[in-house]
Amino acid sequence: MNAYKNVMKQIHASEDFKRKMQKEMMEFEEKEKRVFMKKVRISVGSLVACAVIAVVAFVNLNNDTTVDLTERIVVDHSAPAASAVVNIEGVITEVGEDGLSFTLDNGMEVVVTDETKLGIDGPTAPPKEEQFFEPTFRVGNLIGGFTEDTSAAPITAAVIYTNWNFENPIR
Amino acid sequence: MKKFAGLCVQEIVQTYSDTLIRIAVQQTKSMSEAEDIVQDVYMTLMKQKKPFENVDHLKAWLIKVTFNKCKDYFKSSRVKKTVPITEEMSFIAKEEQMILSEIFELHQEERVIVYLHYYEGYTTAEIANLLEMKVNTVGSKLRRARMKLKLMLEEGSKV
Repeated sequence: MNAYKNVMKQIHASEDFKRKMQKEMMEFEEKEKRVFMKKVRISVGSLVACAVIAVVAFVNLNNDTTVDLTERIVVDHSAPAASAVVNIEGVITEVGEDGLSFTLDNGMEVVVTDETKLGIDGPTAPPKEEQFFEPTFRVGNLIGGFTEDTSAAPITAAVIYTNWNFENPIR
Repeated sequence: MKKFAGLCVQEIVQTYSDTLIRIAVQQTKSMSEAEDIVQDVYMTLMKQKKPFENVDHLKAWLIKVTFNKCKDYFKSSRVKKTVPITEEMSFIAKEEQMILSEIFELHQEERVIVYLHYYEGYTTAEIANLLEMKVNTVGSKLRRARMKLKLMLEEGSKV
């Protein structure tokens, strides 16, 4: 062996250094694993939270009792023009818990059923979004409609064509 | 347990530390600085995501990173604070310390080229690839270093 190799051979890493390095590298690996597991836990937690929110939102969506009355308005321009006797007219003073019954300022108690036609129909009817019909019955709304049965109490409305608060309207 | 080219960290440290320390010592002329550099190399390895094709690839990577970190060392202010070689390498006989001094007279790149060729057995082409140099450049530096260290590189040479 030449002198160069002989000298180089004597230069080497000490056992202390090697032990220290092995320990540090293994500690680094452990730390990386802990960080990775923490990230996994956060990701899984976030996914679970999103799933829970989605389920709650879906359930609430299906259980939603708010009714948008304007969705029941059907505008049929081909329907024949009809003369109606307006016998439901007044301002709502009280609304029932179901949102589909109310009392007018003239004392008339009115019930809206699935058969009640909402909005204006007929060949001259304006588009649904232009009619004076709010999504819900509210105290202070002006009601216009008629019934075919005036003897019953409360009155079942045959048609309600106006449900509008001119002071503070909403759509 | 993390593995690189099929080797665990214990095996890597046992197998390659001597080589890396020798490269770093020849560059920095300081055992303590060399250990700091090799420590840095191993930490860089732990953060390495790209897999190694085989152990030769791993060894080449380690050598290349060590050399590059030695270059960074020379750009830093730590250079001025090194301990004289005689204090740190008292385990080498006095007459052989003279050889070390001659090695340290070589240019940085000449030192590592001589080591990789004469001690590790790499060809000039392999060294050129490792150090990202042209083959001709490696060849001419090797020739120059060989002339300077002629006596100590001869087989059976004594001090």
